Amino acid sequence: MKIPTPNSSVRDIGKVVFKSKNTYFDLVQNGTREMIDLWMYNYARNIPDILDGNSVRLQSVFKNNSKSMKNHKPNNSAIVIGAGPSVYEKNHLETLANSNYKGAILCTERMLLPCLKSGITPEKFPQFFVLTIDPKAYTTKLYDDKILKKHGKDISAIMSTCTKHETIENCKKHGLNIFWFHPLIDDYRKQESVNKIMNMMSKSDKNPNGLPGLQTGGNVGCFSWIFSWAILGCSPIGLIGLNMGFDGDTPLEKTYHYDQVLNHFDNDKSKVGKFYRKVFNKDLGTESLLDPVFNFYRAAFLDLVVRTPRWTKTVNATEGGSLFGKRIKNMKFVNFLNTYT
Amino acid sequence: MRLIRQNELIVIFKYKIFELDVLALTKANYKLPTRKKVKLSKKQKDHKKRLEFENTSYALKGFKGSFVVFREKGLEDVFVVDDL
Repeated sequence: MKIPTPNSSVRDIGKVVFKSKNTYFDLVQNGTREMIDLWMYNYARNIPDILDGNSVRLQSVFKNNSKSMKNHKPNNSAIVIGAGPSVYEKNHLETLANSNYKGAILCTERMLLPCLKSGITPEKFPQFFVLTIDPKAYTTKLYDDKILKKHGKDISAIMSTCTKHETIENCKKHGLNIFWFHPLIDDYRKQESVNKIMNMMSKSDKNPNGLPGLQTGGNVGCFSWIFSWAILGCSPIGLIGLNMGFDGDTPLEKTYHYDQVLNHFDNDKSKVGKFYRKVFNKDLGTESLLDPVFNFYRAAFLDLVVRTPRWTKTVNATEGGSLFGKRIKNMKFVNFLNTYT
Repeated sequence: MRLIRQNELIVIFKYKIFELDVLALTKANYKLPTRKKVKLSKKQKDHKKRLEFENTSYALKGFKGSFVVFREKGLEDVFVVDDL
């Protein structure tokens, strides 16, 4: 069977979307919603594993009510590891591997193998999580390496129900402990909601109410941050490798989404530049270059961070990038480790 | 005198045996008032052209991220939903 590609006929699902002042935001948002065929393709193939699987609810420190979250007193910190360029430029993996950090480690899927190979292992850091929300095929190879045979059984893999099925197969092959959640994609208050139908289908003896739905923020870095406080109840949360942009002097051609953006404009290079913007990180005195996709992710993150409970502290220890502003504290990673170990 | 049956009536009208002079008032035979064409300034024209270009190019090829950001009206502060 042919694997689904974006389906433009389902764009009306996104019509109820929050009306942002940023036109790009809505366009990227609605464009992404066209992936619904692929999400459902993956979801259908994961159903046997979902019905017999564990819910992320098992990882939650909160009772099933909002008061519990509001009055929470965190006693553990967390570090979210993204795949941004600064994580290598600043040697953050080595710094963390050589530290005595006691908090939770949340790896984005792309960083799982680099972390394990750098000595950031579940043996050294017992609260070790890896997270995936992306439905695409490239995630499969990120869970396939012989090093996982050694560490897999001690790793908790937080998986979207729409993850590529072959990725799940690899996790099972290496003995990772899978915990499932539904990514929130539409208004679950409505009977015709895709999320609602997904949950109806995921109810089983093991999970009579189905699985929880989680906000993802659109990318796994943001999702890892949400998971760290909304499920694990951790705070402060240190972010490394979450650049959400590039150094100000990076040539456009070397940016992550350049080919994608160029393709949008029928390979007309003169048009591409108009969709990039630069922001000045006043906390660090550095400039960041944003492509339309990172601009979208950044806008989402900055919007979400101000909506978190008061006990949540977000520390950007990336030492670069575009995440700064209200309720985000920028700090050097070594200082974060010294302060919150 | 017998009544005209429905199928006989259809034949009468189909083959124009009997033509009605009174036409139903429809958009086709009603002369709509002409609307004065709005003259767009150069700036407005450029803006319109740009918007059309953005909408078509993004919509057709679309930037594809991992997932949507959940931002339904009235649920902007929702991070975890236990009972979907």
